[in-house]
Amino acid sequence: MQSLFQSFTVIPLPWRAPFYAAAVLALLLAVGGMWARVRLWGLGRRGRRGPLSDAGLGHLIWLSLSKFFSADCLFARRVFARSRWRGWMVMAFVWGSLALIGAVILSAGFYAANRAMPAALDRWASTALDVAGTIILLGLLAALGRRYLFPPKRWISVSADGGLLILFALAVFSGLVMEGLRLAGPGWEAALRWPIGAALGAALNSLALPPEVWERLYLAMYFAHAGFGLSLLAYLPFSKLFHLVASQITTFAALTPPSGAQAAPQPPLLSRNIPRRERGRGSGPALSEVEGVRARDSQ
Amino acid sequence: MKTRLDISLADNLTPLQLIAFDACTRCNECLNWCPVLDVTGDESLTTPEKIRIYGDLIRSRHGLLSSVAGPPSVENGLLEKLKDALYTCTTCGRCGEVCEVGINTQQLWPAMREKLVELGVGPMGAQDQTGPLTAEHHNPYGRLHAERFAWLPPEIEVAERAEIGFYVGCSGAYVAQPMVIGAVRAFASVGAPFTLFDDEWCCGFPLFIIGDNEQVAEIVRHNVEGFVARGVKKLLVSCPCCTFMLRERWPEFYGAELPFEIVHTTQFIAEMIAAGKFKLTKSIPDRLTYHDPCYLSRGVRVIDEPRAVIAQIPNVDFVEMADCRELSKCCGAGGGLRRCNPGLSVDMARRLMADAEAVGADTLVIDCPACFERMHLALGGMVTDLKIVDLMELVSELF
Repeated sequence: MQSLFQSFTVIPLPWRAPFYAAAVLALLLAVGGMWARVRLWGLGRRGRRGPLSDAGLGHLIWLSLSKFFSADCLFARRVFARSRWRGWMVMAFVWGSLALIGAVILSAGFYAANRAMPAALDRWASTALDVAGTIILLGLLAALGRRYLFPPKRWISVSADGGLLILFALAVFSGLVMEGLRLAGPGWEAALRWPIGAALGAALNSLALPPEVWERLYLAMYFAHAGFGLSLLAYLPFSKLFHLVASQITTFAALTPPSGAQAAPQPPLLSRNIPRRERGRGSGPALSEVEGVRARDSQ
Repeated sequence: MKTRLDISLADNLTPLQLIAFDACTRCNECLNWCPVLDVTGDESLTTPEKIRIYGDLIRSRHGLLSSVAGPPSVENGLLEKLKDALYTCTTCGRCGEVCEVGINTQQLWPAMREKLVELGVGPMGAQDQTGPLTAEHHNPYGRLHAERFAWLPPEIEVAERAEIGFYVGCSGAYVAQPMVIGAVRAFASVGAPFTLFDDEWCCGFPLFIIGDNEQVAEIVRHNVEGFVARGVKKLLVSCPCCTFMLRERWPEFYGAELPFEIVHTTQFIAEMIAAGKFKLTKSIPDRLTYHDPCYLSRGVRVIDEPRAVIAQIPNVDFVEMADCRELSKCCGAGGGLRRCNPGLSVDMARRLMADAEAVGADTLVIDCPACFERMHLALGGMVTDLKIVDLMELVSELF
């Protein structure tokens, strides 16, 4: 059975240089793009009343990093207050991404340091990658369904947001298919370590293709997955996904009540008497009812 | 036709407000709560679009390309679209209250409007009269300044100097007199001496909210100095928009913290009730419901105090509307909408009154002169038994 590390060595030697160059380019675009947007925050007028009015760029960047791990963000409290459906969707993205990023950083770190990873850790990291990818994919399918199949009655968006969602889904989906192709040989014995990948592998095994075909398909899917992933990374700062960097700051600032206010319930959205709505129009009657039934001018 | 963006689009926004343009996830939850959308059905006028368009403009104006190639030009049609979206809005802040990433839209819209005014695009329609009228008459209604205190009941004693001052506000003085009459009667019954500033000017909110801030600093200085000269330490304000303006924006235009405390009249009466100095003795047979004004609930978070006052009415029959407290619906009067789109604002007021009827209320209690004016106007076109009463007006009849 292959180790998690082997994914670093599957690229044929002649392709490694252009591959890593593409990866560096994507990373530069991501970091440069992020900085280009973050620097705009510093153009604001300091000293105005209101939360974080005197915060410098460094403080804001620190909040962006640290408040990602606040209860509001990790448990999507403000989202759940409005919609359970979207709340679970966000939870899938947040926890799935955290597990995925954590496992990748861990394995890359060990690989860079000593080309080896403790077996138990390798096992956990492998499972985390496998399950986290599936959780994110479920979240993405829910988001795609909400967007294209069951859009809310009130809805406004731009096509780039749909493109971003599709790109994200392709990146995750290709990763899972790649796992299936990688595990097409070992079959169910890999299930303890990569349960989803092994299930896919078992399904693919029924095609009974020769081993060299699996290998070629696996390599193709590896490049597809890397391409989608790097594209997503490079596109992040230029898309609405940039809210990943910004929204935890506004969420944190929303906990500050206006000056001179009485102690606000914390969090404000969970106070009593607040109706919960999934979606749709408000509770009031339609205008036609108001005017038609009660307006004098309609009599 | 194109307009060159040769002004900064960011220098009047706080860093947090600039972050808001990057934080919006376009989840569209705000659309479910927009009272303007309830009536117009036009999604292009809603929060995600305002944020998207202005965010794009900022990135285009202040991005790296702009620093190399100079300020960009944008189609006038886009600026007109942004103007429609920004001004066809009561700035009620309900979208911000439900925002899943906590964007404070109530504070954001006026700052964006200020930039549209600077670009020569805003304000909208008859809103452009607000500035000249206020400059000439010290109120946005164009009413005679000499008549600002014409409503004052002769039996009410006003001190020359006192620690408690009362800022009447233009709407209370000219279009919702029962509210301020009720307020001064309540103050008198408490036995607390209070003073008025006989040359009181508009608080500047009607100008601030449409983005036309040219006169505001002068207005603020005049009013602050007038109340300071009368020895005021605690300034009572009955209008929610004035309360918000005085608490949140006056210190900035004044350039320092205010030398007095700002307290909404309902907060003051609630304090007096808690201290045992104010008691309501008469009952009312009606079933009451209460509308939280946008700038009182979401603006300055005075939410429990009005209910505490209503609860003092003996044997009161009170019911909450479906949309209440922080999530109350807007009556349509705010944000200068009643000036640039009066029909829309009246339609919104009718919806709110229909909500009050839906819970079986006989009387809709409000706590805002703008709501008072708008709902009485809307009442004119409806067949309904619903009564609209201001809380101070109600209170002054029950002690």
